Amino acid sequence: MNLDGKTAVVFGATGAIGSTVSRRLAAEGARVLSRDDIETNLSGSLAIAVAAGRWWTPQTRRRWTAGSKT
Amino acid sequence: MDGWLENVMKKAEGLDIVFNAIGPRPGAAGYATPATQLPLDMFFLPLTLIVGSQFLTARAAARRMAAQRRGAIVTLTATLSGGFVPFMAGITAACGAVEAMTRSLAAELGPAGIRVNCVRAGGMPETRTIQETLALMARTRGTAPGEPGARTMSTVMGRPVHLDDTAATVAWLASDAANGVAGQVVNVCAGALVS
Repeated sequence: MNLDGKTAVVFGATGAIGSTVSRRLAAEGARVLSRDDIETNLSGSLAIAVAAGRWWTPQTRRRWTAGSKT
Repeated sequence: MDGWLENVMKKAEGLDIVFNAIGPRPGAAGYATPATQLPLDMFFLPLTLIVGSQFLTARAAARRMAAQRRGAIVTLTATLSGGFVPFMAGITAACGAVEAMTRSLAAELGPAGIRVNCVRAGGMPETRTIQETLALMARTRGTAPGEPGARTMSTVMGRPVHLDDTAATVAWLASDAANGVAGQVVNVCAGALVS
Protein backbone atom coordinates (compact mmCIF):
# COMPACT_ATOMS: atom_id res chain seq x y z
CA MET A 1 0.00 0.00 0.00
CA ASN A 2 1.22 3.44 -0.77
CA LEU A 3 -0.51 6.49 0.62
CA ASP A 4 2.21 8.96 -0.33
CA GLY A 5 0.82 12.40 -0.98
CA LYS A 6 -2.61 11.63 0.44
CA THR A 7 -4.22 13.56 3.25
CA ALA A 8 -6.25 11.68 5.84
CA VAL A 9 -8.51 12.89 8.62
CA VAL A 10 -9.16 10.52 11.52
CA PHE A 11 -11.95 11.19 13.99
CA GLY A 12 -11.91 9.60 17.42
CA ALA A 13 -8.14 9.39 17.41
CA THR A 14 -7.94 9.43 21.19
CA GLY A 15 -9.11 5.83 21.27
CA ALA A 16 -7.14 2.69 20.54
CA ILE A 17 -8.61 2.09 17.08
CA GLY A 18 -8.38 5.69 15.92
CA SER A 19 -4.82 6.13 17.15
CA THR A 20 -3.66 2.84 15.62
CA VAL A 21 -5.26 3.69 12.29
CA SER A 22 -3.68 7.15 12.40
CA ARG A 23 -0.24 5.66 12.92
CA ARG A 24 -0.76 3.08 10.17
CA LEU A 25 -1.93 5.63 7.62
CA ALA A 26 1.07 7.79 8.47
CA ALA A 27 3.40 4.81 8.16
CA GLU A 28 2.05 4.24 4.67
CA GLY A 29 2.93 7.80 3.72
CA ALA A 30 -0.26 9.75 4.36
CA ARG A 31 -0.42 13.08 6.05
CA VAL A 32 -2.79 12.46 8.95
CA LEU A 33 -4.79 15.05 10.79
CA SER A 34 -6.60 13.83 13.86
CA ARG A 35 -9.64 15.53 15.29
CA ASP A 36 -9.17 14.61 18.95
CA ASP A 37 -10.96 17.55 20.36
CA ILE A 38 -14.40 16.39 19.30
CA GLU A 39 -14.19 13.42 21.62
CA THR A 40 -13.62 13.92 25.31
CA ASN A 41 -14.03 11.48 28.13
CA LEU A 42 -15.12 13.06 31.37
CA SER A 43 -14.66 10.74 34.32
CA GLY A 44 -15.99 7.79 32.39
CA SER A 45 -18.89 9.67 30.96
CA LEU A 46 -19.15 10.70 27.39
CA ALA A 47 -19.20 14.09 25.89
CA ILE A 48 -18.90 14.58 22.22
CA ALA A 49 -19.26 17.51 19.92
CA VAL A 50 -20.74 16.23 16.73
CA ALA A 51 -20.79 19.62 15.12
CA ALA A 52 -19.87 23.10 16.09
CA GLY A 53 -22.00 24.16 19.03
CA ARG A 54 -23.73 20.83 19.41
CA TRP A 55 -23.03 18.61 22.36
CA TRP A 56 -24.68 15.60 23.84
CA THR A 57 -24.04 13.63 27.02
CA PRO A 58 -25.74 10.57 28.45
CA GLN A 59 -25.31 11.81 31.99
CA THR A 60 -27.34 14.89 31.50
CA ARG A 61 -29.65 13.20 29.02
CA ARG A 62 -29.43 16.32 26.93
CA ARG A 63 -30.31 15.89 23.33
CA TRP A 64 -28.56 17.40 20.38
CA THR A 65 -29.67 20.97 20.24
CA ALA A 66 -27.94 23.74 18.44
CA GLY A 67 -26.05 25.87 20.89
CA SER A 68 -26.47 23.65 23.94
CA LYS A 69 -23.23 22.68 25.56
CA THR A 70 -22.14 20.74 28.61
CA MET B 1 -16.80 20.40 11.59
CA ASP B 2 -17.36 21.68 8.08
CA GLY B 3 -15.28 24.74 8.83
CA TRP B 4 -12.50 22.66 10.29
CA LEU B 5 -12.43 20.40 7.25
CA GLU B 6 -12.38 23.47 5.04
CA ASN B 7 -9.21 24.59 6.79
CA VAL B 8 -7.72 21.15 6.28
CA MET B 9 -8.44 21.43 2.59
CA LYS B 10 -6.74 24.80 2.39
CA LYS B 11 -3.69 23.58 4.26
CA ALA B 12 -3.40 20.23 2.53
CA GLU B 13 -4.77 21.17 -0.86
CA GLY B 14 -7.02 18.14 -0.78
CA LEU B 15 -8.72 15.55 1.34
CA ASP B 16 -8.26 11.93 0.34
CA ILE B 17 -9.19 9.75 3.31
CA VAL B 18 -11.66 10.03 6.17
CA PHE B 19 -11.99 7.47 8.95
CA ASN B 20 -14.23 7.77 11.99
CA ALA B 21 -13.67 5.64 15.10
CA ILE B 22 -15.91 7.59 17.44
CA GLY B 23 -17.81 5.45 19.91
CA PRO B 24 -19.29 5.57 23.40
CA ARG B 25 -18.00 3.99 26.58
CA PRO B 26 -19.76 0.65 27.08
CA GLY B 27 -21.08 1.42 30.54
CA ALA B 28 -22.61 4.69 29.41
CA ALA B 29 -24.27 3.17 26.37
CA GLY B 30 -26.06 0.19 27.87
CA TYR B 31 -23.75 -2.52 26.59
CA ALA B 32 -24.40 -5.92 28.22
CA THR B 33 -27.75 -4.72 29.52
CA PRO B 34 -30.75 -7.03 29.08
CA ALA B 35 -33.26 -5.53 26.66
CA THR B 36 -35.97 -5.91 29.28
CA GLN B 37 -34.07 -3.44 31.46
CA LEU B 38 -32.71 -1.11 28.79
CA PRO B 39 -34.23 2.38 28.80
CA LEU B 40 -35.18 3.74 25.40
CA ASP B 41 -32.79 6.66 25.56
CA MET B 42 -29.90 4.33 26.38
CA PHE B 43 -30.91 2.09 23.49
CA PHE B 44 -30.79 5.10 21.19
CA LEU B 45 -27.44 6.37 22.47
CA PRO B 46 -25.19 4.22 20.23
CA LEU B 47 -27.49 4.89 17.30
CA THR B 48 -27.43 8.62 17.86
CA LEU B 49 -23.73 8.84 18.55
CA ILE B 50 -22.26 6.33 16.13
CA VAL B 51 -24.66 6.56 13.21
CA GLY B 52 -24.99 10.30 13.67
CA SER B 53 -21.28 11.01 13.80
CA GLN B 54 -20.51 8.64 10.91
CA PHE B 55 -23.08 10.50 8.84
CA LEU B 56 -21.77 13.93 9.79
CA THR B 57 -18.14 13.14 9.08
CA ALA B 58 -19.00 11.40 5.79
CA ARG B 59 -21.21 14.28 4.73
CA ALA B 60 -18.58 16.90 5.52
CA ALA B 61 -15.91 14.91 3.70
CA ALA B 62 -18.11 14.14 0.69
CA ARG B 63 -18.83 17.79 0.07
CA ARG B 64 -15.14 18.42 -0.34
CA MET B 65 -14.15 15.16 -2.01
CA ALA B 66 -16.84 15.60 -4.65
CA ALA B 67 -15.25 18.86 -5.76
CA GLN B 68 -11.91 17.15 -6.34
CA ARG B 69 -13.55 14.01 -7.81
CA ARG B 70 -11.67 11.61 -5.56
CA GLY B 71 -11.62 10.28 -2.01
CA ALA B 72 -12.10 7.31 0.27
CA ILE B 73 -14.41 7.21 3.26
CA VAL B 74 -14.06 4.26 5.62
CA THR B 75 -16.73 3.65 8.24
CA LEU B 76 -16.39 1.32 11.21
CA THR B 77 -18.70 -1.26 12.78
CA ALA B 78 -18.36 -4.44 14.81
CA THR B 79 -19.09 -8.09 14.10
CA LEU B 80 -22.13 -7.76 16.35
CA SER B 81 -24.15 -6.88 13.25
CA GLY B 82 -23.42 -10.27 11.68
CA GLY B 83 -23.56 -12.37 14.82
CA PHE B 84 -25.92 -13.15 17.67
CA VAL B 85 -24.57 -11.60 20.85
CA PRO B 86 -27.19 -11.03 23.57
CA PHE B 87 -27.62 -7.90 25.71
CA MET B 88 -26.24 -5.64 22.99
CA ALA B 89 -29.39 -4.40 21.26
CA GLY B 90 -28.41 -0.74 20.86
CA ILE B 91 -24.86 -1.14 19.59
CA THR B 92 -25.87 -4.04 17.34
CA ALA B 93 -28.60 -1.92 15.78
CA ALA B 94 -26.12 0.93 15.33
CA CYS B 95 -23.64 -1.32 13.53
CA GLY B 96 -26.33 -2.58 11.18
CA ALA B 97 -27.43 0.96 10.47
CA VAL B 98 -23.92 2.17 9.66
CA GLU B 99 -23.40 -0.74 7.28
CA ALA B 100 -26.67 -0.01 5.48
CA MET B 101 -25.81 3.69 5.34
CA THR B 102 -22.39 2.82 3.92
CA ARG B 103 -24.00 1.06 0.97
CA SER B 104 -26.31 3.97 0.28
CA LEU B 105 -23.51 6.53 0.52
CA ALA B 106 -21.33 4.39 -1.74
CA ALA B 107 -24.01 4.34 -4.40
CA GLU B 108 -24.61 8.08 -4.07
CA LEU B 109 -20.98 9.17 -4.02
CA GLY B 110 -19.41 6.57 -6.27
CA PRO B 111 -20.16 8.45 -9.49
CA ALA B 112 -18.31 11.42 -8.01
CA GLY B 113 -15.17 9.34 -7.56
CA ILE B 114 -15.63 8.75 -3.85
CA ARG B 115 -15.37 5.20 -2.54
CA VAL B 116 -17.24 4.42 0.68
CA ASN B 117 -16.55 1.15 2.48
CA CYS B 118 -16.99 -0.23 5.96
CA VAL B 119 -14.62 -2.18 8.17
CA ARG B 120 -16.57 -4.59 10.35
CA ALA B 121 -14.07 -5.37 13.09
CA GLY B 122 -14.05 -8.24 15.51
CA GLY B 123 -13.53 -7.71 19.22
CA MET B 124 -9.96 -6.60 19.79
CA PRO B 125 -8.98 -7.66 23.32
CA GLU B 126 -6.39 -4.92 23.75
CA THR B 127 -9.03 -2.19 23.50
CA ARG B 128 -10.65 -0.70 26.55
CA THR B 129 -14.04 -1.04 24.91
CA ILE B 130 -13.77 -4.83 24.70
CA GLN B 131 -12.28 -5.14 28.17
CA GLU B 132 -15.09 -3.10 29.69
CA THR B 133 -17.75 -4.87 27.64
CA LEU B 134 -16.55 -8.32 28.68
CA ALA B 135 -16.52 -7.26 32.32
CA LEU B 136 -20.06 -5.95 32.01
CA MET B 137 -21.13 -9.09 30.19
CA ALA B 138 -19.70 -11.30 32.94
CA ARG B 139 -21.60 -9.32 35.52
CA THR B 140 -24.85 -9.59 33.59
CA ARG B 141 -24.44 -13.33 33.13
CA GLY B 142 -23.13 -13.94 36.62
CA THR B 143 -20.07 -15.66 35.24
CA ALA B 144 -16.37 -15.25 35.81
CA PRO B 145 -14.67 -12.50 33.82
CA GLY B 146 -13.27 -13.89 30.59
CA GLU B 147 -15.79 -16.68 30.26
CA PRO B 148 -18.07 -14.81 27.83
CA GLY B 149 -15.03 -13.50 25.99
CA ALA B 150 -13.74 -16.96 25.32
CA ARG B 151 -17.00 -17.80 23.62
CA THR B 152 -17.56 -14.62 21.66
CA MET B 153 -13.98 -14.54 20.43
CA SER B 154 -14.01 -18.00 18.89
CA THR B 155 -12.43 -17.59 15.46
CA VAL B 156 -11.29 -19.59 12.45
CA MET B 157 -7.73 -18.46 13.11
CA GLY B 158 -7.83 -19.51 16.74
CA ARG B 159 -6.97 -16.02 17.88
CA PRO B 160 -8.78 -12.74 18.12
CA VAL B 161 -8.24 -9.95 15.66
CA HIS B 162 -5.89 -7.19 16.77
CA LEU B 163 -5.66 -3.45 16.32
CA ASP B 164 -2.92 -3.71 13.71
CA ASP B 165 -5.08 -6.07 11.64
CA THR B 166 -7.92 -3.58 11.59
CA ALA B 167 -5.67 -0.61 10.87
CA ALA B 168 -4.03 -2.44 7.95
CA THR B 169 -7.42 -3.08 6.37
CA VAL B 170 -8.44 0.56 6.77
CA ALA B 171 -5.19 1.58 5.09
CA TRP B 172 -5.81 -0.85 2.24
CA LEU B 173 -9.36 0.37 1.67
CA ALA B 174 -8.07 3.95 1.68
CA SER B 175 -5.33 3.19 -0.83
CA ASP B 176 -5.41 3.06 -4.61
CA ALA B 177 -4.91 -0.70 -4.29
CA ALA B 178 -8.61 -0.84 -3.40
CA ASN B 179 -9.78 1.34 -6.28
CA GLY B 180 -12.18 -1.39 -7.37
CA VAL B 181 -13.76 -1.78 -3.95
CA ALA B 182 -16.86 0.26 -3.09
CA GLY B 183 -19.94 -0.24 -0.97
CA GLN B 184 -18.44 -3.22 0.82
CA VAL B 185 -18.57 -4.33 4.42
CA VAL B 186 -15.23 -6.02 5.02
CA ASN B 187 -15.01 -8.49 7.88
CA VAL B 188 -11.76 -8.08 9.83
CA CYS B 189 -12.31 -10.58 12.59
CA ALA B 190 -9.83 -13.45 12.17
CA GLY B 191 -12.75 -15.52 10.97
CA ALA B 192 -15.18 -14.90 13.80
CA LEU B 193 -17.72 -14.50 10.99
CA VAL B 194 -17.48 -16.62 7.86
CA SER B 195 -19.41 -15.86 4.68
